[in-house]
Amino acid sequence: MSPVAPKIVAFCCEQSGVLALDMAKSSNAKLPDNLELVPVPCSGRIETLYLLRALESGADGVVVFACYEENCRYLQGNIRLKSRVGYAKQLLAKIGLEPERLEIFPLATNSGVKCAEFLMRKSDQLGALGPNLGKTAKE
Amino acid sequence: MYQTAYSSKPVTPSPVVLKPEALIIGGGIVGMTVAGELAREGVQVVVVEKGETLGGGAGDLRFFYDRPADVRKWMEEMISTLEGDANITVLKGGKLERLDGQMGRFQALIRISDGGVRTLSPCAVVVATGGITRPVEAIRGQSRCIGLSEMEKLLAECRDLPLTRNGRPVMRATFLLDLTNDDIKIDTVTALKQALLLQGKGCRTAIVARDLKVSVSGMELLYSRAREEGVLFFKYDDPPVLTDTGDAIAVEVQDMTTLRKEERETLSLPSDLVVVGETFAADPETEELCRAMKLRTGPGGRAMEDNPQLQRVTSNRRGIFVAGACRFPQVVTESLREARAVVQEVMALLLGGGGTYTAENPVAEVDAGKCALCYTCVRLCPHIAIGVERYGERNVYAAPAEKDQNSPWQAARIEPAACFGCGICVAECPARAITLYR
Amino acid sequence: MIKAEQKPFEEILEYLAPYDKILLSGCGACVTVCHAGGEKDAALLASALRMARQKMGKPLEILESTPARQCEPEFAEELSETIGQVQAVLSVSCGVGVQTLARRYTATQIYPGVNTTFLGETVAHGVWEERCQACGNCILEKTAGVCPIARCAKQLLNGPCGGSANGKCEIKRETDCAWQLIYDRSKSLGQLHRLTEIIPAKQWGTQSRDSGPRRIAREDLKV
Repeated sequence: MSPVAPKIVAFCCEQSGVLALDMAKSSNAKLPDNLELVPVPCSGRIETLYLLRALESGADGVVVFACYEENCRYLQGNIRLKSRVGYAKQLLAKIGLEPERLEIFPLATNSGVKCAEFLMRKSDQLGALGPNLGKTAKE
Repeated sequence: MYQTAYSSKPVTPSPVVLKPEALIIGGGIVGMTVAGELAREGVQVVVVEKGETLGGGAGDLRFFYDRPADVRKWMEEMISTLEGDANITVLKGGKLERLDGQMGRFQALIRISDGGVRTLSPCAVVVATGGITRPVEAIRGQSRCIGLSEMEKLLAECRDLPLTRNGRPVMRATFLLDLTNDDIKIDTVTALKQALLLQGKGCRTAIVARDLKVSVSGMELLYSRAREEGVLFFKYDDPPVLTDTGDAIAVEVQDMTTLRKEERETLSLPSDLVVVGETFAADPETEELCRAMKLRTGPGGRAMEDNPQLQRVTSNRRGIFVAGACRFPQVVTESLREARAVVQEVMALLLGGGGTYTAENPVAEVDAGKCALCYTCVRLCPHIAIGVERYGERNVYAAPAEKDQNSPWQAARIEPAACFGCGICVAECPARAITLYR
Repeated sequence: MIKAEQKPFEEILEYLAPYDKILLSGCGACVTVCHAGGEKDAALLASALRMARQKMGKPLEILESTPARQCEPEFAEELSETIGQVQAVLSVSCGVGVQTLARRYTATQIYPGVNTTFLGETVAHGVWEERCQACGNCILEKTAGVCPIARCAKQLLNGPCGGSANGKCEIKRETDCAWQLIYDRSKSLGQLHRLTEIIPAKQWGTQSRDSGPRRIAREDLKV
């Protein structure tokens, strides 16, 4: 096991993800170390480029906390994001990176415990996969 | 108006002046209620009604379920108050053909049936076009089957007398609900209301339904009263079979109260009249209107509210509101509640910024110099906040040497008053020409 | 507009194998509109390439620049300072842009990052279809606005072949038969009689594209 926990960048939709993580923190749910949170007004704001750049600049895994498909406050942001994540996964396959390094986790504002558990599982999963060999940032 | 030169520095959007002028499409009870209350607040209101009379779908109603008033008298009063109001203009035989612009400066083109055309520039638009119903296919052609609206009229005609239809007395009536309209509660309300009236005339009344939808204000009490008065209730899984027995219609229902399926008996309810709820159908005219106004439509082709839990009367476009049956068919009390909610929203807009609107949420802005006019953002904006206009100083198509171009270039432009700050356009732009500013 | 599609990632990696510092130049015009090589797509490709090369243990430094267009000499000139700092250029502009750069920068390899596919129309958002093949002698006036050179698999000039069935092409069943479209549109224009006019065979060699690169010279515009 590497001494440093895998770095996870979590993009959080302000309509659901941010609030769920607030709930996770205030209910003292266990969150993995080395977690970076990036709030966005809607998951539809997340460019495909951000997903790749996050990995490039040091993340071992990227997760997106977005609203459930029919619940997007802006009607279709999370659906656009889903297509972008699909495209990004194709690129990851070409690069030779594992698809588990990028995942969408749909949730609602009260999913504090669920998202914390998901992040812990993801951290373990990424730890087993090993560090992201595509990152170019010097640590 | 906005500066013609956009830079990439954050720009505080200039406030949009809001004139107290509203356009209401639909002259039914919702449209009229919104008009009346806005006019009382000093707003100049134009009501566009496609027909030659006001009143809309509620014109079929004769009785309220929750108060003793006469619907037609109530309606006549409403119409005459409206027509006498100096702040309200009613355009009959009119339809909205085009809506351009954004909140605060909509440009509406109304075509009147006599060939005339009116252009209006409201700051807010309200869609209250109501809903349409169709007779249920299953009972078409059956002589003793009628719809709820026909029963309503029959009861009104025979007010204090026993009920007769085509000269024959009606002593046994059975309501058959939920053949269509799964998610709509009005039919249950109407059936209960009519059943009580019938029972009061000494008629044997039964209501057969898949579910009794009593989650409307006052309905559980009404249901209790109906049971006390002797109205019979039956539930079904498979639709009951109707058989013509010559002098009556037999409605066959399964007795669902037994514990074991094998013990279920089939009961037959001989009826002089079977009453079925009409189907609430998608209204092609409302759908056409939503297309013209670029409003989102939801299930059943109805105008969609922005967020069913939190924002029931706002639409996907700022400054445009939807209320009443065109959004969702419901009882009069609920529809009027929505009408009042719309009035609150419009007044909040008009009064909130002292007569102006300044975008508070993050607003996206297009760098005209980088815009390739690919229309991606225009197509994808869920709030129809983006158009293409001539305002750029420079554009992708101008080579560096051509610096003396003075005429404004076309580029995509996001109207700050209409932007919701979601950032979808920012992420999609292939030229990365859009920035979201807090 | 010119439509293009990004080349397979593996192919691009092969081109770039000998280098460790390149310029990735996008283009702000046609390839932006078809989401193949605009600033966004160029940045995405750059990020993916960096990660792939990092993983291979052969880091690649990528400078990014997206001029407004690459098909004018002035736009090519804009890149001169940057090109001086790199070993090669990967251009995701169309073939014209690649060649404009190649003509100006004779000492630097310019690699194409996209396949320039066709002149096309936007059919729906994200869907583009070929409409014109630049034959140089437009006959759209005779064919009710539908081009049989671009849209007929056999480039027939006088009516459909025997394989046209239910309005579809026998070569590719999903494709509309161009001559069916021409017929339908001529009918709605009230111009069916024009289909009896014979369109002579194209002179590909002398009047079209089969005798080398064509040139337009406007003497009145010349400086």
